[in-house]
Amino acid sequence: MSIELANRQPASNTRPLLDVKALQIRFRTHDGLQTVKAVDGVDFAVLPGETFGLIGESGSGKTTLGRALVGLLAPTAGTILHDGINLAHLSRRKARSYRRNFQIVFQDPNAALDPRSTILESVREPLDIIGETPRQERMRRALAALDRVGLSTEIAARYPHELSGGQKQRVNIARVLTLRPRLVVCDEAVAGLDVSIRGEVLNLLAELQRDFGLTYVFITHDLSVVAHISDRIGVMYLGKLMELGPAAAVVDRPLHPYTMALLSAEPVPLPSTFRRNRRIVLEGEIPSPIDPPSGCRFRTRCPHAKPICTETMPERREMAPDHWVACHFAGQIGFDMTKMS
Amino acid sequence: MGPLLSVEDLSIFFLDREGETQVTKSVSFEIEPGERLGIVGESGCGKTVTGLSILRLLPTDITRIEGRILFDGQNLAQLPPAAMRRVRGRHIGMIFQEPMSALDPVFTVGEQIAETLRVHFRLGAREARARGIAALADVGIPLPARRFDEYPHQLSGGMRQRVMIAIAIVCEPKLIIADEPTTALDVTIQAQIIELLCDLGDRTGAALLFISHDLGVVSETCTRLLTMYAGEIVEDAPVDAALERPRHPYTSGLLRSMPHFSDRRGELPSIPGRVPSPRAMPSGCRFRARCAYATAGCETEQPMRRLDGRAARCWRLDEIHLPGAMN
Repeated sequence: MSIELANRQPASNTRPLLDVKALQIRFRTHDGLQTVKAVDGVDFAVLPGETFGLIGESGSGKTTLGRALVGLLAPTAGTILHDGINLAHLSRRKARSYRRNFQIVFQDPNAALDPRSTILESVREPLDIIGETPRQERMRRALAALDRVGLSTEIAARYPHELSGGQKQRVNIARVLTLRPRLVVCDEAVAGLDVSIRGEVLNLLAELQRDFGLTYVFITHDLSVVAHISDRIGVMYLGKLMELGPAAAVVDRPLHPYTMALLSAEPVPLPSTFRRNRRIVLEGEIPSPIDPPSGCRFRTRCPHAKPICTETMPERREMAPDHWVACHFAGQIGFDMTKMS
Repeated sequence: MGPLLSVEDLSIFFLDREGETQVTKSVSFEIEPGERLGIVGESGCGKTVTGLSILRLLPTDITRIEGRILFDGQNLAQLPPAAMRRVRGRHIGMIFQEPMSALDPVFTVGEQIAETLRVHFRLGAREARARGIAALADVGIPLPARRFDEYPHQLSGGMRQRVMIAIAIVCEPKLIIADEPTTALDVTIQAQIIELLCDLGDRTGAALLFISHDLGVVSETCTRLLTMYAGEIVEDAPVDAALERPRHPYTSGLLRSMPHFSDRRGELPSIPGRVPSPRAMPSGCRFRARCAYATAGCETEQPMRRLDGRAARCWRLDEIHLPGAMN
C-alpha cells in the first residue's frame, strides 16, 4: 500500500486542479436583516488525481463550499481557480462549458433523479443539454457509463422507483461520468446507503478514479469513510478550516482539539476491553453562523479554551510537513489516536 | 425474576390486494429488566417493524401479527386498544429517528410532555409542568423552564432528540424502544445522546431496545446484540462476544464492511448480492445466496442453534471461524 500511496503523491510543482483562496460565501437571512457566514475565509488546494476529504458537522459550511467548488454558488469574496482559471472572469457561455469538467454527486439519490424519466434519459440528460454530439452517440455514451458503474443495460429502461438506493447512486455517478469530468465533488454521496452497499459504491469510486484519473472532493460527516478514502483531509467548523493535512496524520495524530473531539466521538465497533478509554464529549452545539464567536470559532465548546482564544483568531500554522492547524495551543495538547483504539 | 419482555414467535404480515406478505418470521427474544439490547441489520431486515409491533403501532388494516409479546405478565399482541394505550408511553417509552416528524409543530415542547403526564397520571397543569421541566433537566437541556414553553422549530436537532427522550422517560417506563435515535445527528451530538441513554438506563433501571443499522453505535450503547436478516433473527449474543467472534456470516459481513477494518485506501469488503424480497424468500438459509461459507446442507431450514450462551441461525456455527473486529 505504501508504494501505491507514494505513486499517488502528486509532484509538488503540479498545478492544483482547484485552488481556493480566502473564500467567503455569505447569504442573507429570509428577513434580509442578517448575514449567514457559511464559508468565512477558507484556503486550500486540491491536486490532480487526489481524494480530498472534507469533514464537518451540520452547519460547518461544507455543503456550501462543495457547491461553490463546482460553480453552483459564486464566492462573496476570495477566489476559486479551476485549473488556473477563474470562472468569474469567463463569459457566461464559456464558464458554462468549462464548468462541465467539475461535477457533483449529491446525497439523496432520489432528489437527483426525475421520477418521470427513465434511467437512460436521466443519464443522457447532461449530454442532451450540451447538445454537441449526435443522438446515437449520446445513447452509446450513456449506456457505456451505466455499464461502467456496474448496471446492466436492462436497467436503462426502468424508472428510479424500481431501483434500490445503491443502484440509484450508481446511476447518479454514471450521469456525471458521461461528461468525462476531471473532478467530482461527492457530497455525502454514500450517507444514505447500507454498510455493505456503501462499501461497493466506495470501491466503485476508487476504481473509476484509477481508470479515469479522476480527482475527488469527498464531503461527509462520516469519519470512518473519510479516513478510509482520502489522501488529504480538511476539517471544517463554522465556516473555517480548523485543520488540514495528510489523511494519516490528521486521523492518527490530530492537532486541533475539534478534530480530536470528532475522532474520539466516533463510535467504534470494538469489544469493550479494546475500546478507547477516553472520550471527549463536547458540551453544547455548533453556534450559529449568523453570529459566530469572536476569536477562535471553536472556543465556546473547546475544553482547552483560554482568554487568548476569545481575543485573537488563531492563524493557520504548519506544524508538520503539509499538516496545517489553526489553534493557539496546537502541539501542546496531546492526543495520539493510535494508542487509543 | 423473569424477563421484562419476552417476544415469542412473532411473525408480521403486510396485507395488500394480492394477499399477505410475511415480513418477519418467528422472531423470538427476551429483554431482562435494565438490559440494553441492540437490534442491527440493513434496511428491510424487519428491525423497525419488530419495534413497532411491540408498541402495537402497526396499522391494523394492512398488517397482521402472529405470536406473543409478553410484557409484565400481559400479552401485548392480544391487548385491546384501550388497554394498550395504558401501556404505551406509560410502561414502554419510545424514541424515533426523526424528532421533527415525531414532535407536533403546533404545540410547545411543554404541552407535549404534559400531555403524556395528564393522560397517564391525570396530573393537573401545575404539577405536569413541574415534572415536565424536571424531565427536560434530566435529559440535559439547559434552561429547561424556558425550553418548556418553546416550539420544536426553535430547537436544534440534538435538543429535539433530547425532548423526545424526555417524553419517553417522563412516566418512568420500564422499557424504552429507540429506533435509530442518533442517525440524524452529528457525531459529537450522537456521542452526547449515547451517553445520555446509557446514563438514564443506569439511573432509572429502564431497559432499552435499541434499533440501529450502525454496529459502532450499538456496540457502545448495548450489552447484547441481535442481528436480523431478511425478517429473521440470525444471531443473538453478548455484544463483546459477537464483535470478537461472530457466529453468523451475516454479522461478520456487516462488521467487516465497516471501513475501520480495512487498510486505508484499500478495497472495502462488501456482501455481494441483495436482501431477498419478502415475496420471493428462498427456502433454507435465507442468507445462503450471499454467503461465502454456504455449502451443501444450507438448503435446509436453519433453526437457531445454541453455543456458549449465544445462538446463531447457522448449522456451521462451531466449525467455521468468522472474522470479527479483532482480526
